[in-house]
Amino acid sequence: MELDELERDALRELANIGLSRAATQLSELLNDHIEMTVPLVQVVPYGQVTQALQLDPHAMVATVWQSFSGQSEGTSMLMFPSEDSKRLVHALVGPSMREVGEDDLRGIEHEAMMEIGNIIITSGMAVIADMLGQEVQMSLPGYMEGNLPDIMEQRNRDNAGREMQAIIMFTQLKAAQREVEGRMVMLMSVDSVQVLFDRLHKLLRGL
Amino acid sequence: MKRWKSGWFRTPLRIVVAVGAVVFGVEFLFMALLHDVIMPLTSFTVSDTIWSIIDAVTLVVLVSPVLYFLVFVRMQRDFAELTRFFAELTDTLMMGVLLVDTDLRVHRWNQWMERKTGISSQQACGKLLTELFADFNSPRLLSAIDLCIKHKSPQLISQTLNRYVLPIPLLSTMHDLKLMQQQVSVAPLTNSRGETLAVISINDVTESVAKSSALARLATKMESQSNRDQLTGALTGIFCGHGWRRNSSKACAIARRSVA
Amino acid sequence: MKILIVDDSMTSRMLFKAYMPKDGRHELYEAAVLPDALEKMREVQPELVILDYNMPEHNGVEMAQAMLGAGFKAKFVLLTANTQRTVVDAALAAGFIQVVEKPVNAAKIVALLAQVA
Repeated sequence: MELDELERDALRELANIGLSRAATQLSELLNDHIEMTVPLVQVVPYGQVTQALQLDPHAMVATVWQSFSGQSEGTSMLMFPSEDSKRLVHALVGPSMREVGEDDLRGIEHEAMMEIGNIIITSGMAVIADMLGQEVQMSLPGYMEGNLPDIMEQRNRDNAGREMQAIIMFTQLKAAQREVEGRMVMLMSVDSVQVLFDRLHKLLRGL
Repeated sequence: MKRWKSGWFRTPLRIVVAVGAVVFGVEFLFMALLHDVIMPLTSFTVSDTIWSIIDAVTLVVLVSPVLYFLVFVRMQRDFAELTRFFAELTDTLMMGVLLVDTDLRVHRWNQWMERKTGISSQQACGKLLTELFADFNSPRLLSAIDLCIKHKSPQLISQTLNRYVLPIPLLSTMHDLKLMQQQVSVAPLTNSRGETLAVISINDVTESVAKSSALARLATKMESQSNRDQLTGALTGIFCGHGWRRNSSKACAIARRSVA
Repeated sequence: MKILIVDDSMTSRMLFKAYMPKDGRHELYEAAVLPDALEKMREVQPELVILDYNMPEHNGVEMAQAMLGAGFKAKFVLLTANTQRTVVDAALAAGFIQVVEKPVNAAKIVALLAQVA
């Protein structure tokens, strides 16, 4: 989908406010300064998502997802390269997990990333809903770890037969002196993307 | 009189009875007026067909409040039953379940919460969480309730990053943890009037946290002992690398599984 | 009052302008990057400077420091959704008089102008 300059700017500002709010929430939780940037927002057809995400197809990706429903419906996913997310959790939880077993370690990483993802997705979606005047209900978060094609295959099954588009926001999260390359993907039907853009145009027309 | 006016009409059931009685009374008066006053004094007559229609209407007016009354009583009983059923359902769960509003006022407090906190449901309902727990201090729970109620987004609060949200002292002290370690979820529940409450579910994960930290301590101890020569106490070179640490972690994982 | 708003987002500047009271008592000037902002400072000498925090090259606090360093005098307000303690503390330490949380609305702007006046 081709965006004009103002649409791209508006989407970027929505993402910027959402992620800034997420950074504020995370800093309270982790008691640390959190940096988050929004360098790029893209809208791509479903078939191009894997390519647009710029992730190594063989590398493991940690993904937190939450479905949303309301005037727009879809799934929000937050993806981090597993290596990055592991380093981040180690830095956050620190020495207390140095000696725990591998099973416990996986559990701790899973739990911590799920909460961090939950906060980032919710804050992002709340700002979009607020600024565009949309009612959105979110599901409980889920967690998947696998390579990108496997994760997308799973999503494929859930959205079978529907023409989908994705809004991708690239972000760089920095906490506890660790940098993590994150991507937030909003996977929606073409109709839902249209509803979102209608709202965005309404907001911009009012200016 | 004032009390009757304000209080008596509060239940829909009483409104139905009152409206039925008024409609029936008005109709009865009208019929009496028609039959006993208007018709004898004037030449006005009513045909048999009209009388039958009036009889039928009277019957409907008389019967419908009774039918409505019966259905309503049944519905009200079913609703009360359902409410009791859900209340008891939360009591059967092996986890804490409480309902709070944006002000942190408690609307429901299940039996598990009563047992673990020593605060009864009667004491808790209507009170603020901050009144029930004087040293309540969880900004994360506050923001989770806010996100949950305002934006209908469920929130997970992990033990890993938060330890606990409600300071519940432990009854037994088999380990050095003083407060219950919790894994919590906060989910929205909206009623038919559009009011949203937050359902807070609390899992007690103290035992597994205590077990993990005991095993971690054990591993550290084993590591430091194995790294020293039994006779001289000097550090041995063989175990100084990271390989041993990895192996001892694996040993812990196996030990943990066997305990579990 | 002359007001300068510095934000890399056109949408954000437009939102601020849309919610400004239309009573003719304020003149609003805009800039997206530091060189433009410094240029506008020199040109119009604004009494109030509103700065975004998250911007690509310099954050809002760094920009204010650059303006103060160049000898400009004004009241500075940070406009951001990033209200974490460290950011607010850095802003107050740099001499900002207030931090306003994004997204803006009419009520927030009216309250800000009343306070600054």
